[in-house]
Amino acid sequence: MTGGRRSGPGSYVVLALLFLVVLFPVYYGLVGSFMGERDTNSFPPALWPVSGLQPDNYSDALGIIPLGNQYLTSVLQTLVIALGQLVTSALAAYAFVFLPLRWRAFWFAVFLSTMMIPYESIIIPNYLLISQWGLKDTIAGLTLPFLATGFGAFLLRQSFLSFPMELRDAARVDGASHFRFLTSILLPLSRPSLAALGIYSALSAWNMYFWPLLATEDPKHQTIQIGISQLQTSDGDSPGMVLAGVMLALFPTLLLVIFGQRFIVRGLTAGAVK
Amino acid sequence: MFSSPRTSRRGAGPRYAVPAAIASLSLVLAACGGGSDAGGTAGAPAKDALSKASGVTTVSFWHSMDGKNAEELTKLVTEFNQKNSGKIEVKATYAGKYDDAITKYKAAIQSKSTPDVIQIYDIGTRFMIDAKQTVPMQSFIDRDKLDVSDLQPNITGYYSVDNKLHSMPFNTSMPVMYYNKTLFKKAGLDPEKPPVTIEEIRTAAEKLSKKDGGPADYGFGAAIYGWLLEQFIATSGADYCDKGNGREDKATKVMFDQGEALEVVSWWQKMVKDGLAANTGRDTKSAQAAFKSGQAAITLESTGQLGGFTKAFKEAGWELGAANYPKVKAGDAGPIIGGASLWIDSVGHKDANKEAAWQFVKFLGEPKSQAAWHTGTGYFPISKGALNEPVDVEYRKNNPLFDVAVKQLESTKVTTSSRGCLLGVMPQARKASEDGLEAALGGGDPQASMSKAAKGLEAQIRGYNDSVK
Repeated sequence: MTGGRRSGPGSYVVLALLFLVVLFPVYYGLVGSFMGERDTNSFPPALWPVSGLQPDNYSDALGIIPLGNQYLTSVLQTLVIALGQLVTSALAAYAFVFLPLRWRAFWFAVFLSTMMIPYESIIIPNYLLISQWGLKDTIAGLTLPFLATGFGAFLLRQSFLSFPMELRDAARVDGASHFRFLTSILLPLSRPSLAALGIYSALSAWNMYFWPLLATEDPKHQTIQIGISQLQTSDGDSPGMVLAGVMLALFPTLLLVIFGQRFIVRGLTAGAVK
Repeated sequence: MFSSPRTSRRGAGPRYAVPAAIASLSLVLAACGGGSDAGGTAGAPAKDALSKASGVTTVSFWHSMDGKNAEELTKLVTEFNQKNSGKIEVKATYAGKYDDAITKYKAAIQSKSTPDVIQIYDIGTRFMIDAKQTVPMQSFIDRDKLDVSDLQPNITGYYSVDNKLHSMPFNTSMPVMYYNKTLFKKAGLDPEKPPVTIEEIRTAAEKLSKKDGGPADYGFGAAIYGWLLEQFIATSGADYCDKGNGREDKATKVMFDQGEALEVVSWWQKMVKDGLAANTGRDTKSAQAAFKSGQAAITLESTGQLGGFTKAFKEAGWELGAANYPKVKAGDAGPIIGGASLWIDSVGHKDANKEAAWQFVKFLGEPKSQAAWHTGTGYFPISKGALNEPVDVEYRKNNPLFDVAVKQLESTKVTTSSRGCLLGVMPQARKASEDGLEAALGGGDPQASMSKAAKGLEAQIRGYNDSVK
């Protein structure tokens, strides 16, 4: 986006069209969650509830799965993972940028290499460990394997690298300790990057499926993603009810994106161009 | 249209590719650990194991029932718990779709935390036997001298290996052919004389398809779904894999690239090419939707769809027809049952739990439970007696088409081909056959496409067989 020269009415038309394309799944999810089977089965597909609203979809969905409990588990799991990743990543990135470590580049490469280990290859060992420690069906079991992330350390390191060294020197001259500098100066000024990482971690944590499936056994401790997959059957299910469940699960992520979007964009590009 | 990854009782849909990969990884591990660690008693425990136990014995039960089926299952579990209040309590857990559940189970074997009872899909049978974690149902049946003549022999046949019933069939479905009688009439076809062979389907489709002036967009439309191909092989009286469909010894190769299977693939390809069949891809829901909306006039699906189709047809004001699964050539062979069965875990489980699990499994197989289950879900009852329960008689009066499936099952002789192929890597085999069929329907040479798919499996089969030696 260079200057404002290109943003004529034409570009707004293009943007509006793209907006519609992006919005359509959300729209259909919402409208479909109120449709009866007659509308969801029709061809060409009905784009609004032609034959009347069907609010029963929501109560049907809630009748099959303990959604309230699962909601709570999902929210707790998401918060713990997002906060945990922020803390560990910020500390690791701080060490890589501001501490005179020996072999810094090497250790950073080791850190990054963890990003290349496919998650699937460590899921079974993780599971064995968690169940040995008796942590199945607990928030600890759900979150422990995800509290640290190489990607987070990488993202924050890039952001910290572009931090003006003059400010750090000034803080040092005024006698600020590492911790003081980190909490009072560095982190507040890196908010966009922290928000970007936080939102990214929260979204991935919220959408996790396989790990929560392994690590939980009590239906009340399962996450909402597992609940939703239970709404969907191969034998004659009702799409409206599944969509109702999807909308319920989508709601928090939608809020997160709507209110956090500017941070995601700003944060991911921070430090990309100097 | 609403579309979703396939989530069936049966194949591995694209979304589950990841768990499937883990599954094959842990499969080898499980096979190594399983055999050497047979800690518990291999057979059934003493009959008084439960009465000697103090307090409430909790039975953990993992299942894959979702949607309405989950509701019905919960009802049965609640009923059982009430009946055995103070003695047994079954705790049911949704363990994900079949593919996910078996992966979760494999992980549980590793950490020695298997549930007391687990529901595993039909094609996981060979693996479950080789994992050596469970007590065969036959030990309980023999111990109690239980009369099992009430169980449908065609259904228990699938889950019997070496003349021993290993797991108790639970939710069972059969494939049938559904057709739109209203469209048949419009096309000038006799709605009471549905096609019997694939050649007759083609003749009917020529009159039904829009291309030749017929009333439907396509005469025929079914999902690219390996289960359907398996059924065509069975209704031809042929075997899917060698060694007597894996029933005499461990199978070493699949045979879906020859004989009747190949004929079906060529026929299907030509139907699509000539505009007589819709290619709706692998998602079974797409093929269902095409049939429900009248775009396709004939489809192949499980009995489980009867309820959904009936409802959709009623709303559209059409008449639904159901008939025996089609054959390559007319003959008396029948299709294979599908679905899932219940396994009782032994390794690392107390005798009281095994006994309580057996009580629960037995309860689910009773005529009364099966009648409730059948009428609530549309699954086929495993108990002959269930069909005589008042609630069931009433159900079939309202759903006369279900009798097509009953007759089809009862007239099918139990042979190796109707019992189905037993293969450790059956989920992968099914997927491979879908790869081949998809390539052929996309225009590839049928023989080359199917042979490539079958060849690709050889190493996997060998690897599995070696790992459980």
